[in-house]
Amino acid sequence: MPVDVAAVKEVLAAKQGARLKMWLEICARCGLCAEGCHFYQSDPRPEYAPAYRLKPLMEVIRRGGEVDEELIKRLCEVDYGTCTMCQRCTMYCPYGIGVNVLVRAARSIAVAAGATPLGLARGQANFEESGNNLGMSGPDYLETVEWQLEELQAELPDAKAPMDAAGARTMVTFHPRDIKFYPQNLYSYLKIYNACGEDFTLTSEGWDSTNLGLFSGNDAIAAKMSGAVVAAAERLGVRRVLTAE
Amino acid sequence: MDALYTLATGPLLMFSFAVFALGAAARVALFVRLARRKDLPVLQGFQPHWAARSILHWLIPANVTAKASPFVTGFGFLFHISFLACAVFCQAHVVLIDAAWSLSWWTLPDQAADLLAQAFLAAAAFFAARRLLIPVVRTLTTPADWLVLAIAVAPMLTGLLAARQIGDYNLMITLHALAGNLLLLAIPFTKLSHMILFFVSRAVTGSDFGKRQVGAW
Repeated sequence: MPVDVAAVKEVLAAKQGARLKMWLEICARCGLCAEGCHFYQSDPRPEYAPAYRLKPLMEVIRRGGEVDEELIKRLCEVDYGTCTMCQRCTMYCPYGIGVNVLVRAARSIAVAAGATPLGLARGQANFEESGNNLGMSGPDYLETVEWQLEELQAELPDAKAPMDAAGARTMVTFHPRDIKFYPQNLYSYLKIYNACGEDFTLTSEGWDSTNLGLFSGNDAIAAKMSGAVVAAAERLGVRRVLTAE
Repeated sequence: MDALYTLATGPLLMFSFAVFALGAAARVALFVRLARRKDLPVLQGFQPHWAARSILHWLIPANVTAKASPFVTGFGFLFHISFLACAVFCQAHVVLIDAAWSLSWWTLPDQAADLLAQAFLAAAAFFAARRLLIPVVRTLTTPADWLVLAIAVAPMLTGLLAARQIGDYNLMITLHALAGNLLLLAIPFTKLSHMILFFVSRAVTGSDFGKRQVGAW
């Protein structure tokens, strides 16, 4: 599949902000970041050093966005395959270089080139269809909440799980995994919120606060995903949002 | 040779100082200007208190990297401190500045400057050895890294040789003056710009960590 060079160039121009330009220039390539990286610490291969993740991005810039499939493939391997954007390397870098920002910029280029990894692309498509990255239907979500509340009420008879309660203090959101595959986690969350007497509400819309767009480097979807949570919070008039892990 | 020396310590030096000072200031100004167009959260999120904490935290070798990499940290501080001390407080430098502008300040005894120059070269050798021997650093290293290291080492090496009168003194002192000019000129345009951008970068990251109240790091 040929790479859409025009799209890559457009994203590249948009992403070359003040921090990116500064950090790509001052990185001393001293390798101290490797001390902080869980990839490198568990398997000390030079290609696992956080500073290595800057190389494909610098190559894209050097070529002025004239990328080919081979470079995009390498960029994907390095910038999706060896980084969780945890920012631990930033804590070890004497300059405090935000490698996560640079990795995300590299991923944006992959997105523009049409090379979003399949798993992330599927989660994003699920979100577009159902509002959560695992494609749970609305009724499934509501039923799971009811089911776990009933279970919890056997232990805490007064337990509540208010749905769309306007004016509550806290709106809680979830990772859809906790609803679809590990409902006992939902049980535990509800137990904690009830036990500490929090004035909370669940929401029927915008309840998935994981943001795959943030991970994949897709700005449009990232904005849509956080936008859904913000819209729910504004609709319910809550004071704060509890986001998922 | 004398004419070259006179140029390198006179008009050329004035030019290099101007490029260095204006260039350094311009780097900060350009960062802010670009941030205004393309990185607005950096400016909106700026927190002077956290920026200062972050800078201080990394100007004192008592951070996580000092513990994780004590040798790199030790040689790193030695490298920078000995360089700045020799550049600013070397007697010969202050004498020249005094002659040009009637400005003068405390100077290092020659023996101390000699010792600091040796320490600097030892630290430079340590960093060169890392680039050659440690697989991760070797993989990361680019030709530009060697060039910049050479630009930083040249003034100190030629300065030490000139001070000790090893080799042809006239040649050595001329090379020393030229190498000093080259270094000043290179600072705004290479990764040596970290002389200024270190503070900008730490301010940005310090403010970011401050926003999340996770310590200075």
